[in-house]
Amino acid sequence: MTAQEVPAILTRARQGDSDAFRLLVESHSRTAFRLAFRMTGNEQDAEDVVQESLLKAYRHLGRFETRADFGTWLYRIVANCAVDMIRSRQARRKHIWADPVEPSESTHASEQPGPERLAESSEVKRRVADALGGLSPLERAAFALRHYEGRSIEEICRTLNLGTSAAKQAVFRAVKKLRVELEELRTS
Amino acid sequence: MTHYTEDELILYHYGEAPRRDRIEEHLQACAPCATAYRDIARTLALVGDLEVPERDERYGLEMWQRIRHDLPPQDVPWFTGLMAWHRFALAGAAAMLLLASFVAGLYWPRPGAASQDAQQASNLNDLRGELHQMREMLTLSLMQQQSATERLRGVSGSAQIDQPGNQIVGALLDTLMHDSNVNVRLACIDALRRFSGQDQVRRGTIQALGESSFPLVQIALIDYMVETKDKGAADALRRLSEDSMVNEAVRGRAVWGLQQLQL
Repeated sequence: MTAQEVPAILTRARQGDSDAFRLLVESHSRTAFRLAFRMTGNEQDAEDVVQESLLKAYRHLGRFETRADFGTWLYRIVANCAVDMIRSRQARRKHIWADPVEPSESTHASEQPGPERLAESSEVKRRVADALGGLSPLERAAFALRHYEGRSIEEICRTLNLGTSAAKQAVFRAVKKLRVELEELRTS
Repeated sequence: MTHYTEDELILYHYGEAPRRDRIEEHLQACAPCATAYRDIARTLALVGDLEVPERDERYGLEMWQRIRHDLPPQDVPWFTGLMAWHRFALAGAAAMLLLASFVAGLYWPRPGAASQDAQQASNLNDLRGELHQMREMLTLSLMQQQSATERLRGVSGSAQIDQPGNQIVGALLDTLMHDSNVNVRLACIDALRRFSGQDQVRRGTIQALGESSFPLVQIALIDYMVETKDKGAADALRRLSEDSMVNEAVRGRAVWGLQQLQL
């Protein structure tokens, strides 16, 4: 799919042509997965977010202006679906009595025997994952966009549909919580 | 000396603080601020970057295979309604017809009570006929639209027409065979149920079962054949159940269909 072909493909997809939409899915899914994983920190959740986002994008294609960039539009949908996913995941955990926080496969090293350093690194990853898991959905989303995705505060505002102050405060709160949670590691 | 806040230092770390040079100078001269900044930088270095699991080039295609049968109907933006002139034209024509009939009824000569009743009944029948035609035209027009949502409305609208003509049934069969959207095809199967006794519908649905490549449509058609007890579908069901290129779930359903029809 070349840049010149994109407007025509988008027009066809907006008219309900599923073959045209397939081309868009094929070209944007990997980027969507990367973002979804960075925001949720969990492979299965990221897969679900990508799937949900693509279905949502197809449903709302009529609202998309063909002059705009489809990738940017989809990026916002993925980010917001990821926030919803984190929110529902946290709600689920609150409702399950004594449900331990399951370490995600991707962020935790396997328990294979190895050098001490590997074990330390694994411990750091687990602690970081737990600290990230303690952030609110909005803090986690804003932090992931700022820290992992390198998005500016202004871009975070547009992506998550927030005011400048709310976006900044979400990043600040996230960093402050991480500082408290990771203090022991930092000083050791 | 005025110290920088934690928030300002976080912004500085991410390169978003205004007057960056001044902060740099300040950090070199102020020990408490330099300590606070080092602390923030160490925390964020610990968080580091996430190792994102690799997804190869086939991932897009895999994702498409996962969602292709679940594509929802597309939302129609509000302005589309304004631009759909044909709907307004048809609605306008129907309104004009109603008005004309009303005015004609007022000024129609009234020779006698009996003939007046007969005349009114005849007018009413004419009016019903016209409305019926209008409804059919509207349904056919919607089924030919580019938007899948509009076509879906057309297919659903056919259920509201009493005794629709061959044109409507033909259009439903044509849509079942050729529409690019799975949901529209599935709606067609539902809409065709009330015509299952017609020969052309039996032939058309069996042909669609043989030609469709959408598993969801194939399964819905098999269920339709079982529901309507259409034993004429035996060959098509056998072919499906024996074709190794056909989706496994569809093959299984075809075997089930043959058993249900006791073939």
